[in-house]
Amino acid sequence: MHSEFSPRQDTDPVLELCGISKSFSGVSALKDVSFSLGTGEVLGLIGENGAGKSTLIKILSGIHSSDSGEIRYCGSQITVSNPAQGLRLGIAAIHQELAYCGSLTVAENMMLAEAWPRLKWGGVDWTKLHGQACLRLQEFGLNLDTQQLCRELSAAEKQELSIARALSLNAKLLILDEPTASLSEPEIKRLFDRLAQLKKQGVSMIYVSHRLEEVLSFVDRICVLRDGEQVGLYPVEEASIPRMIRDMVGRPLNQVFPRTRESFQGTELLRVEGLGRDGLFQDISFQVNAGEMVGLGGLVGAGRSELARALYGLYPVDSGAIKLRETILNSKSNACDRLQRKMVYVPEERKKQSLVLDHTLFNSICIGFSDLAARFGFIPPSFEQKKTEHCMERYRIRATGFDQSVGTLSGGNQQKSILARWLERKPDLIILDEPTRGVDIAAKMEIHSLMDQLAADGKGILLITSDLQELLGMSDRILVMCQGRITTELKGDRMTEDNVILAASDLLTPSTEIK
Amino acid sequence: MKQFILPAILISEIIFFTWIGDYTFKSPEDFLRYFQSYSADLLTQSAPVLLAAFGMTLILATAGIDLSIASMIALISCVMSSFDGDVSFWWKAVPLGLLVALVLGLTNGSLIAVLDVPPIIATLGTMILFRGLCFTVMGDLEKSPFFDVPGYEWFGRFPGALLLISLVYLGLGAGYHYSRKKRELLMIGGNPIAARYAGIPVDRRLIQVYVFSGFMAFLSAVCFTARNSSVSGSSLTGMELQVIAAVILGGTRVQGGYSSLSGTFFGVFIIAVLDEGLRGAAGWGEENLPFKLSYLQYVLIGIILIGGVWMNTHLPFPKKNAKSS
Repeated sequence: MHSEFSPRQDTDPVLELCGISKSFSGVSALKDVSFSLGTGEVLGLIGENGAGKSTLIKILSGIHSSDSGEIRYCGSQITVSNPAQGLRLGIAAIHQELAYCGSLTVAENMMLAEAWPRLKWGGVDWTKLHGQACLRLQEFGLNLDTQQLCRELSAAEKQELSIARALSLNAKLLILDEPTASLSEPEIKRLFDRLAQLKKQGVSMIYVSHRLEEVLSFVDRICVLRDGEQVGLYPVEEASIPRMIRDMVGRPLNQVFPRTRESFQGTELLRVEGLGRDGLFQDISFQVNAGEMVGLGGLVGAGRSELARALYGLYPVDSGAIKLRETILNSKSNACDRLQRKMVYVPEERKKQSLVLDHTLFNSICIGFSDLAARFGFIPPSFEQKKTEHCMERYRIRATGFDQSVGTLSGGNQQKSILARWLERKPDLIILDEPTRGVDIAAKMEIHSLMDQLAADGKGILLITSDLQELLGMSDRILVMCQGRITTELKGDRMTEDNVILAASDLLTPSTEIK
Repeated sequence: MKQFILPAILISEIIFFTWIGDYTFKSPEDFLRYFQSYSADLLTQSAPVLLAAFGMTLILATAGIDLSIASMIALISCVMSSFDGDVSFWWKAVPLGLLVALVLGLTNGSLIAVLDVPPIIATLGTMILFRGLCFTVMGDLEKSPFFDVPGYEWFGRFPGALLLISLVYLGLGAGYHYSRKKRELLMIGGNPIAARYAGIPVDRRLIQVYVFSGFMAFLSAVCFTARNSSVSGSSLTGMELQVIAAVILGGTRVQGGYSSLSGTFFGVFIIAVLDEGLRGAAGWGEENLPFKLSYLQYVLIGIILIGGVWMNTHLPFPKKNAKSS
């Protein structure tokens, strides 16, 4: 498609970024990103999960502000302080999670950001409103009933509606974040037809996607981010899938992964057969042995966390069986029962799913194991105190004391306190979901050596992580999930970054496999 | 610092009302006698609210609320009052009252935990429903007197209510403090998602809390019927607000995740002393104020409630959540 239109970036760039940097509480998310975008040019923004793509989009659309650097838009320097201002300037971001009001009609959503036509006495002129909305939709080539409620639209229609809305506000720059993630094949094709048309009309776009073939077929230039740094910026003619992958991950395995344990396989701890839940994952079969760390890789949204939650009994499955040691878990077995059977789950979003932020460290840790010490439901007063002190020492949780509230701890210490909570139960099977996300490098190393120690002690670990280095460095074996299925199992020499990335997009075939 | 605020308010209230109450004490014994009867009155009068507030504290800890508590107590009283006031009352009315109490609690709990109705809506519904049942049971009758708990007013030298209150607040309070349930309830209130992820049977715990609150409503109903000589369909209207106000004033958070039983204890008395004091000071008010003092009660309770919530959200929290019972 790019051949139809040659970018005019040399004339007058719509957008210029100079040295954009951003860090969140000391952790650097973007470092010195600079690129420019010409009229009608499409820039593909790619990178691993956590490479800084979302941060960049949020800075451009005014949700975050950059720490340093300059944004020049149509020749003048701007600071976008909120999304509404961005829209006024003509920068519209279409986020992955679409923002629309489900119980308003198409016309109301369309006109949400501007003044509505009024009748003489001040009431809303509905006929005119719907007429205007209809006209704009038709300009965009959309035939939607403007009286329809937004929540009744399909995912593709919502997407198109929000693009049409952005364009009706005279957007000159469209930022698309994973626009095809929830669309089917024909819908994707239709979307691309529309986008190509817009491109011809001179709308510039930043296109973010994990689907590399899409990026190759649609964009003019490619910008690769890795760990917040811009590692590549080249025209699409010079790009190929292997090169893009190399740029996305290409860094040497460093010494963050202190693997000291011998490979040792004990008895089977967990066996999953044909597990499925409608719309989340299908036909999942694998097993985890004692002393083994099994990595579960894949893109965000591939169904890994959903699978973990189902394994932990947080929601029921439609089909298949889970066998924990000798017992087949029935549908009555919930998370409470899983805990009794020595299975624990450390969820991905610790603030949402693990912690009560204003509870004390003491309460937060004790909740995991105090039932083991309770006599007739009562807990000996001194017990918790001793145990918590022991935990803080053993897991090296740095806090002012155990009555500090967990919300004020650093991410690493929060994560260690959650690990302390569960590991003091002496579990056999541990499911870790993104155990080192948002954790500083020192705490990351501590957590990694703790995991190594656990596996050496004969625990079975299922590690879900989007950090490729971690996945490759820690796991004995890697399962890769793609769109709700385990598509690939990688062992030994086949455990390479390229293979995991290819498998995550279901592109791994004997011919593409890099040996 | 913060733990002294409530006792300080309470003591200054008592001093203020004793001062404007125009008492003259000729001797220290005189003062003691006055104080003894004053506290006994206060206790017997506050006992129903104190008991109901115990249950309410646990409900608020789970980020719930029970608006139906007053209707519930009234309904239990109504059901019990339809029996004869002789000895058979003990083995007919009391067990039935208890059963009704537990069923009402279970109703609230199931609505909230199983059917997933927001607590404020579920209990607003049952508040109206239970009140309707009160009138269905009683008609427009007013029954009096039907029941006399032996030793309720004076049990030897102590008010009987004091015994019950101490038993509940010290016994159950300590039990709650050291139980695992407390930690689970606070976690449910603080972050229900995290509680589920931590393997806490959230639904079961919620039902248990509301059933327990039903049990406290039963004790409260027994105290209420023992103190008041009559029960009617409209008894105790508006008491739920007094209970909730006392609990919030005591420092328990409406958003859940933090509870203070000792705070609730003081909260109830702060409101009760205000109530009683304003009634006692009616004479003083007529001389000195252009309006009726008893009307001021609601104004002050409103101010105290808002002030209490403001204090809880804007003053720094006590660090040791686990330590205060």
